[in-house]
Amino acid sequence: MKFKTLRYGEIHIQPDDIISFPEGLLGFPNCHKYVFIDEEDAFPFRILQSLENSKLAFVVIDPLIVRPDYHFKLTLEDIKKIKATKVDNLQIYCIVSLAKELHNATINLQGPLVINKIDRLSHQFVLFDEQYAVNEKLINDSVLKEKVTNKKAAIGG
Amino acid sequence: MLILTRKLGESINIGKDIKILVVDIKRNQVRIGVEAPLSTAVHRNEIYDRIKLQNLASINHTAKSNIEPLGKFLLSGDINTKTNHKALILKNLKKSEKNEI
Repeated sequence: MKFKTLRYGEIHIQPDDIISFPEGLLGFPNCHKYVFIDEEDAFPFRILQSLENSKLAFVVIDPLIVRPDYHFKLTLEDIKKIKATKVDNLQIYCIVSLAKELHNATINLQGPLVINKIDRLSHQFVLFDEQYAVNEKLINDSVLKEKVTNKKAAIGG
Repeated sequence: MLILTRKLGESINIGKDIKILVVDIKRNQVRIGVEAPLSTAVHRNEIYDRIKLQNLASINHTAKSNIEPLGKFLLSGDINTKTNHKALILKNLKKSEKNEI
């Protein structure tokens, strides 16, 4: 099956590629079918493209890449929602909000997408212990400052 | 919307399984107790709204030209000079690839 996306051109989809969000994502309750698009240059980000709206796509990342200590609890009741019985069968992604400036990019650690790899069912969970925010800086300020300092030092030297 | 008046200590039942109890009233604040089955998610509405708004905001700037520089930045060696962040990222990437679907 071919599908024309607004931003990433035409993509070819196998039925097995499709990931279902029975409840949709918050704010998008009517879009249930998505696929991952992997652009080499977008790595380590992946694009979650809606198959019901060519304009709708999310940029996602495995949160452990940028927050190695990221963790949250799910109950068995929670993962039953996506028909999973084992944590091993889950894959977690977080939605990234990009901005014109690199340092303004944020990651939503409070509303992770949890995918059951076996049945390809997914759900956006809400973490209500408020340990994480919906718009945490993807690149933290100290790293940026160091980068700028290094650059200045390089120019000075 | 159904509107009911309740006094301190009084409650409302929603269906068989859900009970809402007025626990405390202080000026303009009400403490509410909720008894519901584990399968029923109970959250403050603001958290849902926050995630919804963030989802809506996140679909802007999703062009490839926005993604690529950030991807390169994340993979660049000097992301964090204090810890060996690049090694960590690569390690996590390997883990992530293994799990990838």
